[in-house]
Amino acid sequence: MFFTQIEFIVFFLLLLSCLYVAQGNKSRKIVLLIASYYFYAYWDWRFLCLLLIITFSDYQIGKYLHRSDNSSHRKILIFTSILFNLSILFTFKYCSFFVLSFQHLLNLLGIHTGTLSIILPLGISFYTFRTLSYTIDVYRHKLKPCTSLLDYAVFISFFPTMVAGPIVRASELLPQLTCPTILSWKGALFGFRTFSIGFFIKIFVADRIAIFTNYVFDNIGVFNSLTVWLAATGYSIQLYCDFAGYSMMAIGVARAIGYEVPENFNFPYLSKNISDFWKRWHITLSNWIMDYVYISLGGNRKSKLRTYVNLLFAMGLCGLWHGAAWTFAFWGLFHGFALAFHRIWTAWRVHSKIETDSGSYPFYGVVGRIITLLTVIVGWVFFRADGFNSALVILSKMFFHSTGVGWYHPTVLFILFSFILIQFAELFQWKEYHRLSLSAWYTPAAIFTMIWLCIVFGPKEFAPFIYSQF
Amino acid sequence: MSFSVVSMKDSLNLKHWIFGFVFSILAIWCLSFLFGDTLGLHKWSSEVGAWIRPPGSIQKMRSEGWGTSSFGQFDIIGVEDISNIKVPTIAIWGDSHVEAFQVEQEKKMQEQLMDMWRADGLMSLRSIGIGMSGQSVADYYFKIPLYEKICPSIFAHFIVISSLGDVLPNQSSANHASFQSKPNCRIIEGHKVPANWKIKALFRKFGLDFLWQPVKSLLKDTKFQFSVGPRTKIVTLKDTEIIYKTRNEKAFIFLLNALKQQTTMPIIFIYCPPNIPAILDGKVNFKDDESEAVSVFARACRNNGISFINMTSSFSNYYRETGDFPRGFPNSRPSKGHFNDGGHRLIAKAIYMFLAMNRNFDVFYTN
Repeated sequence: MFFTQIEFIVFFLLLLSCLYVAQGNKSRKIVLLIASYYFYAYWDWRFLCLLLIITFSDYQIGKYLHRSDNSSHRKILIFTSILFNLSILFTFKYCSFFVLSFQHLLNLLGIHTGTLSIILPLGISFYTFRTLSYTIDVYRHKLKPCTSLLDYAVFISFFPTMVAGPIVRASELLPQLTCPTILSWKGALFGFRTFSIGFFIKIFVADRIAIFTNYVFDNIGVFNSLTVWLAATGYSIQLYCDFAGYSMMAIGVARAIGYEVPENFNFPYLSKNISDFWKRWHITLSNWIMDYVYISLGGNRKSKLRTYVNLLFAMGLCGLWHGAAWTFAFWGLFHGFALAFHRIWTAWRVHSKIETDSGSYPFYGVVGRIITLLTVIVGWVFFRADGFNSALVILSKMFFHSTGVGWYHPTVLFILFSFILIQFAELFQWKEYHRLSLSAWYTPAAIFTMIWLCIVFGPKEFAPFIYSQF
Repeated sequence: MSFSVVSMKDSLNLKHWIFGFVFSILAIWCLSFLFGDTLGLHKWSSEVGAWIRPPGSIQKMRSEGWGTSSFGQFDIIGVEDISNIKVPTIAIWGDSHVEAFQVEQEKKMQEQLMDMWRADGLMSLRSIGIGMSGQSVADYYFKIPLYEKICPSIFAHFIVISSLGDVLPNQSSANHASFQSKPNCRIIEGHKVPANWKIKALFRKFGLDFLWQPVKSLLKDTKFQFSVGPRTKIVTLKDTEIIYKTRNEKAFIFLLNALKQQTTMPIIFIYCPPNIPAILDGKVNFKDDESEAVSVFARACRNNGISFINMTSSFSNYYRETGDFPRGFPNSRPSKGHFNDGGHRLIAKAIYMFLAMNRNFDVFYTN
């Protein structure tokens, strides 16, 4: 079930009524668990067993980790948890990919693999990372193990963040489950506001741009350079609005039922550098990768070379997390190299005592933002392309003059203009109108207008959430 | 764990929310007035013997192209009353491509044709477009005699076919007339009442056109599914498969003879290939899948004394020379959909050239 389905509204109103009627925290959690399982089963009930297996196994491993003082025993337990979860992820998400990738090699060795057809369980990347955060935190003594299987099951299957994040860690959600939450009007209104904004940027902005970008990218050879640039820029906005829209809807839904979910985006296209970008884009994932992969590998505590290798490995993994394709891995590595380059540049700057602080030298701030934005847009080409050949065609069209059909969709141009305006409003802190705070008099008018715009001008063709495919 | 009234008062400033709701309705009303399509209205006309758009009504199209069309008497766009036309007139028949809500009046093919004539000093010739979405040659079969009665100065009928489906038998026809070949060839009149015309008129009356589609899709198209998955994919039924075989030639001959019996005026078919030139699979397509059947139809036309204009090379050359497509608009997909200004100009030019080259029409040029 997706947030944009009309069935979801019925489901959610029914859930709110049940939560209102349910007495006590435990009964509320039971209602929430049933609702979450139904939410998942709505897509495919057969994969509920996968969710149940992960829930039981990691709940038990967490308990054993807490009980055991033996270091090697603890290591075996955490290794089992990581191996178990990653093997499930690998089987469903990456098995076909690796088999296909190495098919030629295996054929040369006389091994004929045939083809595999495996269904990718909805949200598997998200709940695998969620459950891993629990066992690793318990292993690191950062978190006390969950004492209630019910709480843990709710944490793993928590429906607002089930399909496409944000990646809520155990340390963020489990404490909220243990203490009774209050359903308040303020929470409901905040949830409604946040959900509506997310709904608007997904349906009205992302899906409208998708009509343009999909057509251009599917027929890339026909269009001229300017159109390809518009499509690449449009795709950057589409991807952001698609994913940030889902995240906002998830935050809004969670808030309405009394739970706090961390923010996932913070104006990423205003980043001063690539490192800043990863502090603003898919924040919960980059924090996860940073805490559980990069730091686990040694982070920057070891040699310089090792730091860069760690960075590349972590970002390559981040790329592969997004999708089982070499273009995703390349996209991750591309960002890894950009991060490494930024690190070298920063070190050189400090060493040479060159002042480039954007506060004192606005020029550096502007140049830094433009370079970062261009790097990100070029990176998205690999993210979007069907393969390397396709990516290279897009890039060659972008960077070498190419004639062809020019298509400058007025709606896309309008969205682009509005998007730039909002970015400037954020950058220069223009009264914060664009943030639509709940107490502002104009917020209800803006929210209702956004809902109307989706109803009346929303495209008929619904584009599935991009990140739900991961 | 309850919604307390006190906290509601604290957090919910009711005045703001009521103002916001009222403001949003006004805002969307204004926006839809500027950027929304208007609802199509219908009324029964005993003179035409069909459901037509009320005279004086206006149709705005904003979702594809940008045009405002105003209807005159007898369902004709841009002409107040065709029964008052006394000068020689040609009628251009067609579906939504001739209706052409997507372009402004002065860009429609009939107007561009008249501009060409005016440039030649031919002020006493008129052309009118008689188009309605979804109609085919079967509809024109019934309408041609009626319109000749209303406007006796019509001296030629140009029929624009936007795909070969317009002349093939056994096509889905919604509530229009249809051409059937089984068990034997016949043309069946379609008189079904346009769907929801009364409700549409009510929405239009109160300026609530923007609500029609959401309300319709909520009440009619939404199918609630609450059962658990696996979710089966919804498979949309394909249109009736068209078999382009020479065996259609008999059906074509029947249709053409039937048309000829309805009028003594010349009939000219203008074939506009649906996918030429068109962006397909990352390339510009110049190959017409219908070409074999088109040549069969063209031959049938020739053998039955009906002229046939094939726009295929004209459309292709237009793209090769200008890089533009005859179909599509900046706010829709290039090369897809209805004719744009360029497409209308090409068809107008084809008619202009046909009349100029054809000696049968000299008499009108000497007027």
